[in-house]
Amino acid sequence: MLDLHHLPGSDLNEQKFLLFRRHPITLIPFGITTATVLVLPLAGYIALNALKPDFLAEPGFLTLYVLGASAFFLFGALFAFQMFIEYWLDIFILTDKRILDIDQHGLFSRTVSELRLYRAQDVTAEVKGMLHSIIDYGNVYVQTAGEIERFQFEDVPHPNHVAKLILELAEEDRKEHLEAAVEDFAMPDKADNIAKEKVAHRIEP
Amino acid sequence: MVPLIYFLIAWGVFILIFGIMALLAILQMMRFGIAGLGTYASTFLFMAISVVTILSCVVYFSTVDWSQGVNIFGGLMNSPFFNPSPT
Repeated sequence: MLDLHHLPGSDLNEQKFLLFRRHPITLIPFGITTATVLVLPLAGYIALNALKPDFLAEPGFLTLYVLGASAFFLFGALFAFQMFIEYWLDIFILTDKRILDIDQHGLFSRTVSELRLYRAQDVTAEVKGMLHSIIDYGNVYVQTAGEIERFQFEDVPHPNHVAKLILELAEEDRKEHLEAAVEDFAMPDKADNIAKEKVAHRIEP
Repeated sequence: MVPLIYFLIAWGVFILIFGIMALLAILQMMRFGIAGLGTYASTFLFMAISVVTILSCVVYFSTVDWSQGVNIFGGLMNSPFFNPSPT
């Protein structure tokens, strides 16, 4: 099981962990379908009893109905659980160092993409449509340097807030990354160059 | 007349397939789900619904005489689908 504080490859001194999923409102069509499928066996029994009470009184027919209805109900529940898994495991995780986008397609297909925050250049929030505007959910796109493909998070709650958060964290990470890079690589050379310039100025009167 | 036991065997096969698929789904959830209440609660709910349904069926089936036959086609012809009662 995934632990937010022990994510795969988390050797980056990550402090903040934010988990995002699609807005629960996107589950409504799935919920209606599931409810219909699960209620159908009971509704069928009530309808049969009302329309033709002697049908289920035939020897063995009630048993046949229970056999069929229970199998239908169980597979309906399994279908609902698998749909829920697809929703539940489709997540994106934002830390102060990176973004992890985990796309769940069906039960056995998963795509895990990772993006270091300092590489994020352009973050776009998109809210399209009346329902999206009222409930405030939409897509967030993250564009990285030199790549045509962009990270896309669909139907995230409060996309503008999420985009702002990503930009802020990316800015912080970029600063830290730059400071570390300057300390590791640029500063010794820079210091040498400055020293050489000073020496040259002294020699030349 | 088809003996009822044949239908019980078919149901058993369905439940076996259901059990395998449910096990795979639960394993996926336990393996890749984020540790937390939602993951545990949804898995437990699914398991509880499945177990209660199967147990209820088993309790009902224990009262059934499986040696009796059922006249499917005659019964279906008498069903509301083929012989709707006048209202």
